[in-house]
Amino acid sequence: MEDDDENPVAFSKSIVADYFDQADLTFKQMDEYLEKQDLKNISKLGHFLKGSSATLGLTKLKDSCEKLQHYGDRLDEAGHNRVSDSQVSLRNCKKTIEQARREFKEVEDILQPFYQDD
Amino acid sequence: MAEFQHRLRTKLFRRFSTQADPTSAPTEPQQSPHRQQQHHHSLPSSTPPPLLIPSPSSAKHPKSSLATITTAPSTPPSAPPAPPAPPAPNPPTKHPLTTLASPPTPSPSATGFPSASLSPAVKFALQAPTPTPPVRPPSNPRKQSLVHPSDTRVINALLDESTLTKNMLHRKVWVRRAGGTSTQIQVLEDDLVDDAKDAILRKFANSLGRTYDAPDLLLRISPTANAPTERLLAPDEPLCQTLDHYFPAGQTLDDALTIDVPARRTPRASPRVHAVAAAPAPYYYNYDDTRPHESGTDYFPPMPMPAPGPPPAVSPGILTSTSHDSRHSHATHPYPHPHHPERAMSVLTTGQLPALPSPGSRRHRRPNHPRQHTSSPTAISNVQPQPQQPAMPRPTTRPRLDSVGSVDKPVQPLVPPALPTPPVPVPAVEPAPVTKVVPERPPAGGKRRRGKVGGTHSGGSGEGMLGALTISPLLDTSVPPINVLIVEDNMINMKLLEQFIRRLKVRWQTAVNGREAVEKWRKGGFHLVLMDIQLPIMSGLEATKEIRRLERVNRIGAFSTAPTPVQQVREGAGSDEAGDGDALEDVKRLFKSPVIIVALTASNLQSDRHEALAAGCNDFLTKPVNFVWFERKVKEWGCMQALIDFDGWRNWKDFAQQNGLKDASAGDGKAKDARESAAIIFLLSPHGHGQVKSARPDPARLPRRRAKSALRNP
Repeated sequence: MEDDDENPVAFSKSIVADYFDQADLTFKQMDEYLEKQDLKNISKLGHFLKGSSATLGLTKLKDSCEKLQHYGDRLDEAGHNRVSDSQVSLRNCKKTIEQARREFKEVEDILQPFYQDD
Repeated sequence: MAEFQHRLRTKLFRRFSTQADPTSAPTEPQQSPHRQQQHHHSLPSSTPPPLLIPSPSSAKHPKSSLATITTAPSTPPSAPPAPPAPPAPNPPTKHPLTTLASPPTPSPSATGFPSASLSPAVKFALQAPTPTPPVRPPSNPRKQSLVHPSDTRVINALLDESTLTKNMLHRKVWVRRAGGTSTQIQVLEDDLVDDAKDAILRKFANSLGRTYDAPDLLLRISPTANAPTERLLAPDEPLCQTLDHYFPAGQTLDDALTIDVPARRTPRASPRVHAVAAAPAPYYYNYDDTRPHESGTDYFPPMPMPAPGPPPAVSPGILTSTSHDSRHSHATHPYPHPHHPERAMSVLTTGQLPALPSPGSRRHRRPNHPRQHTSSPTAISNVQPQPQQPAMPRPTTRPRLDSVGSVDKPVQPLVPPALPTPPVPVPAVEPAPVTKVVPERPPAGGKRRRGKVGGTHSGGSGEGMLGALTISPLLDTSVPPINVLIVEDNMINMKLLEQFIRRLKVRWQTAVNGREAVEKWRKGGFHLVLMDIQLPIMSGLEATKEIRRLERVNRIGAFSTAPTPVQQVREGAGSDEAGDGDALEDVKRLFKSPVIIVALTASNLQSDRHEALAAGCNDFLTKPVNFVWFERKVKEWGCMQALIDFDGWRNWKDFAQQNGLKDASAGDGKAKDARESAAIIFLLSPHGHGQVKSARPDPARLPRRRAKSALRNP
């Protein structure tokens, strides 16, 4: 920990690495819930990933996760109106998860060189 | 001749003695325009010869003639015998007085009753006293016009031109304030504009004289054919000459000089106006928020003084209002003060931009939520931060001002130096000697006892960090020595928060869900909880509610002395029924005050915040958390808790002594340290010795005495 204080890069590396792991895992879980059509849990995962994405400043990903959160809550994109058809919500979730994945891939590609495991 | 004069005087006296005292007439604002051509000669004289001046005014119009004969002697009988004065039985073609009155310049019209120049306003003004049309036939000569007895010298001078000097002559000049009624001031023939300003201030003694000095006034002369530009009169201009130049035919009422006054020199902000203007919705706290600022404006004008904007003449409202009541004047002030944005921002940015310390921002949102079930710190924080608000962001300077805080906060940092314990929060490093040392030594502060009681989780519970005692030098009170519980399920965020809290060098623990948070809290000793809202198993809101419930049930904080609210709450809310497992261990020692819960809200939605506050959170931080805000919150709430926990710190000393600590010497040493540090703090705190009260003999008394004597003999 003192190490981290003295070595912010190491800390950042560890955080980013953790984030990659976490996001990987989260996306897998999302797929599972999508299979089960478990919108509620998708929303929770969206919120979860949103938090860490925001912490790292990955705003695109954060926005996608927020959408996902809303869709999972059977709301529209902005979270204002209800979506009555759960299938619509599921489709939206699926779409958004894919989008988030792409964005995550981007981030990974950008960040990986900088935070390559030593 | 003399007899004729006497008869005439008597006649005049009889005729006008029933009228208002003519000598007061010149000061009346409602004046006949016909008088403007008169030159009043009021020089003192021992030989006032009433002089008959032919006048076109008809004697058949008494009221009109009153206007003309304003200088009629009020006490003719007492006047000494007049020297022979030339009665003018016929209207002379050349008016002697008028000629004399303006020797240097073309004379104002001798015959001048410029009826053509009478404005409708004047006509209106004349309607009240008399139906007489303002235009009078100049062909109707009249002989009753008089010269005031005090002008005898002038008359004498007329008779003997060699003795005549200009400054013997008075002259009346029309002036008016913008939008106001014209009035006349009396000036000497050779007075400068500067002197006229003095006269103006005498005339407007109330409305202008109280606020302005003569040099502040500006006189504007309106354009005429002779000088087509309107301009300000320079102070060193000879007024009469200028007037004569501008108005060769004589200055009429309409030609009155306009008196301008500069923008107020020390405009006082009207708090009500600001409050309303700044905040579209007038919150109840606005007045309080602005109060310190308002008082400040007495000394520091809120806006740069010579605001170039408002030329006062443009808006008559200013002139009439400024001088009377500053509040009202500002209420009607058409020019908003330029420092509005500052306040507007302070309201509008509440809680969203880091412009304000958080107690303020929190307060802004709070009123919507009656908070029955939060206990004392909340209540305190609702009230206290107000005066402290400015000081909140820099608590380092505060301890000296607040005695309790000064005793408490710096003292606690002082104690740790006795310990060689560095802050070692994370077990990964595993500093074995440290973890052993810490539980043995009761840490400073009431909550430190948790180290003994809950010593089981000191070693390697995973995130239980013991012994991270703050070792900060005295008065380097960056963050008070508090114990923080971080509740966050997301490991990424948790890592970041851990990093943050490590930098602050306070003790901390973590919990990954609401249930765990509650369990950790039950062990006691936490001052501050940073609570994520969305948590698995038990959400942050639920955990918060549970903690608040347990606080109520166990009468922590305010409820310990107020049983009634507890009963009420119990009756009101069934969930508050104390269950079997609700009793907290060692409540008195471990829970000095309700814990402060700062919600970590993912969204910046107002509703989320309201929900959090309603659940019993004291504050919130929006995620992603940045370090500046994180530090602020921990600091300010930590300071608050450190203040509240002063008793805990003192009790701890008793506790330590009573229980005969294992290493009593160390305990004594620490107690001694504490006393000394308290003494130092007292020295630094001007009010310190008045605040600490203790029934039993306690160590704090000693330093108090010491401090007092030290204060007496610096």
